[in-house]
Amino acid sequence: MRFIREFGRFLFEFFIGDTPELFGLGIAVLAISSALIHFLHAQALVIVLLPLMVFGGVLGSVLLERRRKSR
Amino acid sequence: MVNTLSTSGVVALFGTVFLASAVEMVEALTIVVAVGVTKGWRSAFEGVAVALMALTGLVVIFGPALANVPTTSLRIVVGTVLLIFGLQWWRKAILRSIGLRAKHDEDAIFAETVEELQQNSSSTRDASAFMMAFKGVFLEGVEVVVTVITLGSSAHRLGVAATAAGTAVVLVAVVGLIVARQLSNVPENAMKMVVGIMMVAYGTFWIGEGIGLHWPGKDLALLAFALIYGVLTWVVVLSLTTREQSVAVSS
Repeated sequence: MRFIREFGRFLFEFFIGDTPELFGLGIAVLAISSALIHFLHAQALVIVLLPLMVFGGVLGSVLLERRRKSR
Repeated sequence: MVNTLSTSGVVALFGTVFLASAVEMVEALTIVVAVGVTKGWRSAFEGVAVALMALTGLVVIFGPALANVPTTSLRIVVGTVLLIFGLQWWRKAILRSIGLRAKHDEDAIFAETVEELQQNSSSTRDASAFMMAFKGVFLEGVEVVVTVITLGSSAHRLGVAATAAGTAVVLVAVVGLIVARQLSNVPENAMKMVVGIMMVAYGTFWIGEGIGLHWPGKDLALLAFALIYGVLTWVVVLSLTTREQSVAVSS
């Protein structure tokens, strides 16, 4: 039981840690892109949107941390 | 249909795994050197040997198992893992570049490990030294294993990825023996920035492929992402560093 708990904590730290927003971003990028491809067949839109969401997300996370530090 | 990488893709794969492994191994080596210097090399080497065996076991078990997973599902899962993992490295590297986070200092890790070990009694075979060396190599090594397995299996180039990681481990070990305690001279943040950007580029690419997207230029899209993300990062770092400096001057 203790091993499972420790392993769970390790996985949490590994994938989420102190940046849950980046974990959410990864899942959101996958969900939005999949939905656009499968329901709207919007290949061209996703080609542009997918990298934009990724960069926008990391930039947002950096700016969030900058705001936290300046307080 | 199995779509493997072209030559440029293989070179990018090798480079990414090599750099990621080298960065992690520098951190592990710092701990091992600290253990060796403080408590003797026997326990340190025993810890390293057991950790390397455990890590090899992980690759042997999970590597071939992942090769049997359908390519589409594998790329979606691997792409998402790489994206999340890479985003963490990328973000930290940007924060360090603009001065919002301390640069990873190997000297501090070394001093911290030595201090922790000195609190325990000394002997030729020391359990705390063994555990410290084992944990240092195993925990940093898990990140290397994740990189090797995810990148290698999704590109159907597990051998290339494992060779890149092995080369990095040997190279860092040899360099480490020569420079010993001067590991803080390694440009770790620049290496982490490159690895973070490459992982995110792979993540973007594999997620797209996994959901049925046809990237223009096929494998070249991977390098294009790395280049675009790199240029955008440079602009962000330059712009935020200038702002931080002007805020500091005005206050």
